[in-house]
Parts: sequence; C-alpha cells; structure tokens
Amino acid sequence: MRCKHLYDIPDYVRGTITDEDRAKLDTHLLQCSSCRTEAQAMRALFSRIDADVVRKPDQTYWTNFRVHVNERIAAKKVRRFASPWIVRLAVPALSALLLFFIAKNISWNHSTPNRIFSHDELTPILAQTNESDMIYLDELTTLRASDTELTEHSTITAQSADDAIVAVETNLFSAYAANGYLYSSEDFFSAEPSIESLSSEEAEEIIRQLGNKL
Amino acid sequence: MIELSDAEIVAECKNGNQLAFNELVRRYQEKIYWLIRRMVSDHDDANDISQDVFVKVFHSIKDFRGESSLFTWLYRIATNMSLNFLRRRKLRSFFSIDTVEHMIESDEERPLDIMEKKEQRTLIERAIETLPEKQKAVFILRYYEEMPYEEMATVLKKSTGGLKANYFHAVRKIEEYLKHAL
Repeated sequence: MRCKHLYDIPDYVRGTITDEDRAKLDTHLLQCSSCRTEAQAMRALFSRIDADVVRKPDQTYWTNFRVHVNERIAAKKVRRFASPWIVRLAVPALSALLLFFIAKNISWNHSTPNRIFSHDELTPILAQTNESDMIYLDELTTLRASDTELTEHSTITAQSADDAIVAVETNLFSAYAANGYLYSSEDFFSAEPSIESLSSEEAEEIIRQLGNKL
Repeated sequence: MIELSDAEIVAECKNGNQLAFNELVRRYQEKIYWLIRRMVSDHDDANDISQDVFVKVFHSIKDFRGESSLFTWLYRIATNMSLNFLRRRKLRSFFSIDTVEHMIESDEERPLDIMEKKEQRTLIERAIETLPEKQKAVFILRYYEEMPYEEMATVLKKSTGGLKANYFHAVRKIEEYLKHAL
C-alpha cells in the first residue's frame, strides 16, 4: 500500500516545506523504508537537475527585450488598424475622403480648419513634453510633411531608440497618423496637454470624434 | 530613483504610463522567459512567446482587477500561452507532405532544424519535454519557481492535492526517463 506521505517527499527533499512538516517527515522517514528509498532517489535526481547547464541568453538580449516587446505592440496596433478587410474597405474610402478635402482646401475653401502642421509648428509643442516625444513628429511628418520638413526631421533624434518606441506606443498622434486622419489646430492644441494620461480607449474615442468632424 | 511597488506599476500602466509598463517588463522579463523556456525547451520559441506575453499584458492590464498578485497573473498568462503553443506544436508535428513542402519553401522552421534543436537540448530538458503538458507546468512552477501550491492552484485551476500528486509523478517520470537514457 502506498504511504500517505509519499507525495510530500519531493518537497521534503527540495526543502520547500515548512519547518513543522519537515520535522514530521524526519520522524516518519526513520520508520518508513519506502519513503526513505524514494527520498534518496530524489535527492540524487535533484542534484542532477540542479547541475544541468542550459545555454543562457547574454545581457544584450535582456537589454533589447523591452525594445522588441514595444516593437511588437506597435506592429500589432498598426495591424489592428489595418486588418485585410479594413484595408480593402477603409483605405479606398479614406483616400477618397482625403482627396475630397484636399481638393476642397486647394480650390475653394482656404478657411478650413484642417491642415498640415509644419515641422516648425510642431517642435515647440513637442519640446514641452519631453525629448523622446520627438518621435510623434516622425509619425506626422512621414505621413503629412513636405520634403523640406522631412529633411529637417532627419536631424531629430529621440533620447534613445527605446524612448522613441515608448513614445510611439503611448502617443495619441501616432494613432491619428496610423489612421490617416487630418486634424485641426484647435484639436491638436486641446488634445496635447492630456497626451500622457490618455488610455488607448480614450485615444481611440478622440480619434473617433475627430473622424466625425472631417 | 524610488522603486515602485507592483501595485503602483499596475496603476500607472492603467493610466497609460509607458515608462511604468517598461519597468514591469524589465522586472519580470527574465522570470517569464525562463518559465516559458523550460516549458517549450527552446530559446527562439521562448523568446517569441515571452514577448507575446508582454504584448498581451500591455493590452489586458486594464482588465487586471488585482484579485491575485501581478506575479501570479503574469505566470497564468505565460503558462497558458506556453500550453497553447505546446498544443499547436504537437498538432504541427503530425506533418502532412503538403505541410513539409510548404515549410521547405517558406521561411518557417524546417523539420531538420527542429531535430537539430532537439539534439542541442540537455538530457534534463529532454526529460522534462516528455512530461504531459499540465504536469510539465506543475513541475516547472514547483521545482524551478518554488511556487506555493495555493498559488499554483490559481494559475493552473487545479486543486492543491492534485497538484502535489502531479508534481510527484512528474518527478518520477523524469527519474525514469534518465534511467533509461543512460
């Protein structure tokens, strides 16, 4: 018959039991030969397992780990916004909408609030947050800026690549850019102070609201 | 710099603080990686899954109600994702000819690479690999992580008695494997 203490033996040998239980098992092992044999075998086995050398990743791996996680988060967001059916349906619709507004701005209506922000306009606003937020500019200028602005942008660097990715993740404006929205200066300035405290849902809600204004 | 508690990190993450999320990753990346690495016995797979764990954490932290510790919650996600991966890998191992051809043509890992990787594993890793999935999780959480049974019960949704029995049988199976491998 199986001893009722048998299942306690691995923890006893490994030392992962309370002092009280250990004392009880010490006494029990003096009387129970099957548990004693089991404990002996497990002691030998655990020494082997502990001596096992598994190849470990180096320090660079750990330093870059966070960066890779953030890259995945960013990529997933973009994918979520641009899943195949969205791409098929929304992109042509958005393109048509954008063309319509651009044409409207150029030809007839110069007083429209929707416009492209230049590098010079964005820089002081972004400087108020922190250096890593410069990546916002990357998103905006890449999608919206003129060649001159892009050239200027190429000289801008975030504090570190890590910070840059962090900023992309949390930034409302990168979400705007990923969605291809244009927004008014009013929207831009009023949204700016709350960038850091926005949750993704709040950001998406603002994006939706802005989208409705277009 | 003041070290934030786990609860403070969670609260900050819920407010969208990316620096807090980065701290969460830094704090738990190694623990999560090793838990998964032991589950799947391969660095590349472990790397892939552990990164996905944190992506999931990033998106789900708003739903984390703090009923368990952050650590237990992370372990539950990591364990479940590893178990799902192992199930998928098991299914994939029943290759059809079409699948093999597809894998040879594509960038996916080829059967030969998989075999080569298997050979690089230590005997202990191979022994652990032979355990049934849940038993493997029990062994890893208890042996390497020294997780209390009560906490494991939360992670694996099993009774503490069942976990103790599982742990014992896992140890026995590893012992048997090593005996025959010599």
